[in-house]
Amino acid sequence: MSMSTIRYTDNTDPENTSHEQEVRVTHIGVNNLVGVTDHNLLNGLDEDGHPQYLTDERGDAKYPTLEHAHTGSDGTEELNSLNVTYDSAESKLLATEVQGAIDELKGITDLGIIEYSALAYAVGGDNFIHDAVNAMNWAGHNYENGAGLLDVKLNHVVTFGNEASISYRWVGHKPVLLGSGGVATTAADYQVIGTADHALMINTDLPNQHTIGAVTGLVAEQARQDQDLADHIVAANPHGAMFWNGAWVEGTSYFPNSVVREGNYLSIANKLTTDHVAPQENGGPELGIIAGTALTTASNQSIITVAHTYTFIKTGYIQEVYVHVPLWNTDTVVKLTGINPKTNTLTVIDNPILTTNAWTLIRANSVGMGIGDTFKLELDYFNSAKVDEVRGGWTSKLGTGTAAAQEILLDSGSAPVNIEISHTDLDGDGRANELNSVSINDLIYIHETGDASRSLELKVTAVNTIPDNSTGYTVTVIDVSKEIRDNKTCTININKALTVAQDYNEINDYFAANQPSFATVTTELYYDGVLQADTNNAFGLDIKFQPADISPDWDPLSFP
Amino acid sequence: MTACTNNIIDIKIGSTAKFAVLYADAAGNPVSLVGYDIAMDFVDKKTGEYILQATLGEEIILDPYTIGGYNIEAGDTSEWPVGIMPVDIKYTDPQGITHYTEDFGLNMILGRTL
Repeated sequence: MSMSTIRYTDNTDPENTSHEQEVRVTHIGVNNLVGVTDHNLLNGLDEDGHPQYLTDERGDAKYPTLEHAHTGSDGTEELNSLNVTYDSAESKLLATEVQGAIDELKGITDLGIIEYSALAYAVGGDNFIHDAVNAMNWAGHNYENGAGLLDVKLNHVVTFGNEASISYRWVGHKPVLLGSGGVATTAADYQVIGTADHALMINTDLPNQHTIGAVTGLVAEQARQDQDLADHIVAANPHGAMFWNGAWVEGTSYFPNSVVREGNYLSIANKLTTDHVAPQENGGPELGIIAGTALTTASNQSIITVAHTYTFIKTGYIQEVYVHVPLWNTDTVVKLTGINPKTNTLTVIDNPILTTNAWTLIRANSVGMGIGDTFKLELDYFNSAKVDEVRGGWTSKLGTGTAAAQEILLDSGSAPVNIEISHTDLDGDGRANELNSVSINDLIYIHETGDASRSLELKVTAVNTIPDNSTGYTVTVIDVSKEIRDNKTCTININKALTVAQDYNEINDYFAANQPSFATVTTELYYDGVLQADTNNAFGLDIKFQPADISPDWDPLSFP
Repeated sequence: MTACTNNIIDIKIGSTAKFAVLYADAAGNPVSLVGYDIAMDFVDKKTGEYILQATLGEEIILDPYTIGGYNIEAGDTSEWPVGIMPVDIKYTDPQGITHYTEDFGLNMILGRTL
């Protein structure tokens, strides 16, 4: 029996407990037995002390009995154990459809998922995947049905591809037979899942899609261009202009297009160079014909033309030109011509002052020569006292027919065959008798009065004196310096055939055994423009050559 | 200490009422009151009005040093009515089961000294 002991103290004397009062009261309404720890010792174990647990009665009251029946309300079959009511309000699917889906899933589960790819390369041109699949004969594919159709079953997950390098997942109905003769598919049966073709991807033009390093060779190309630009910036003359650099300085590197003067030589560099601009003399000068060599006098009844051609085997420059004639007086007519193919120049000196039977220095300008270069000297020579001459002025006309007054008509400015000269010259003088007296083998010289470099030297082969107002000539061309142009004032000299022999100087077979050290010399001799056989004779022409080192790095602009 | 006759405790009106209580089982072993609720009402039997409603945690404080022990601090009794005031103690165990002690009386006596 439980008990509470209540003790009261009036607090009058805390040390004296005799004032304490105590009552002991038992507890009412509780099991006053001393508690036990063994459940079996509890009283009332056979009573229904736990109503929360189901008895048969309570269970039957709460749940349907095992014998209850199930009858489907929506057409489904009667179920054996559970009465399932399917509400299609949300899904809009009939229970048969749901059951079909369950069956399908069960079938897939039983078979297992099979994933494979199918590449439809059947058609070209149109790359739509459904067109490619529809046209495809799938013979040879692992899942071909034996009739050329792809047999896509319920448990198949198929990835299609075609020439467009795009992957498509089949999302159409299954099972299905695909290909030529099978179900015609549409674009809606496929879902794009990726592409192996970069060009087909979107957003490839967005910034930072490809680093420079991602493109093979681009870094190296960028570096090359950077270097090119750096080189361009530091180059002395990146844009080809000429740069005046003043006087040449020893040890200076001159960039291309630098214009430099050294002495009387002005040149432009054609590459980076430290070379001299001026030729650097290499030994003393040398004559083509050994000084003091005696010349002999020969003669022929014609106009004499002699020529020396020098093919150089040393570099250097021509310092001086010499001419030797047996007789020079006021009747002597001389024309000296220098031909330089390297510079494409023709220099003509008419009637220079010479010395009888002696060498005369004609010019002393420096003409640079390299190994293999050629230079030709030509001397036309005759004594005018021994010839008759027709001399006058006419206007050139290129064409055929009859020459009008004051005209010379040529059928060609450079290679005439027929010419006709009016009997009236530009001064209005009548020249009929002189022109009609010209004979075969007479020489006709024509040059433009305003440009003496344009000249023709012709030899008459026939004369036509029939026209009343002009005389016609059939000619052969002896020499052409430059063609005669139409409608130009021309000076015409007609040298009638010589009546006496003309002297000239030569050294017989000189160059056969006496070639100079700086060049190989060949010679020519013409009588009235006709080349003679012997070419080893030296004639009254010579040069003084100064061997020198001439840098090919400089292109001369002017020289002494 | 005086054992009270008829379970009545004499208390002079005006004194401070404090009770020390010990709860023991039938064998006399103290019973732990952890999880218990304890209440004690003091009612004027003439008017039926509560003089004091002592509740655990307020006027009723468990003795932390004594298993089954607690104190009831009833306080000043100056206004308590003269005569025997029947009271009991209500226990509610942790399972929610409530029981009471039998009644005992508080005999409020007029003091002689003001």
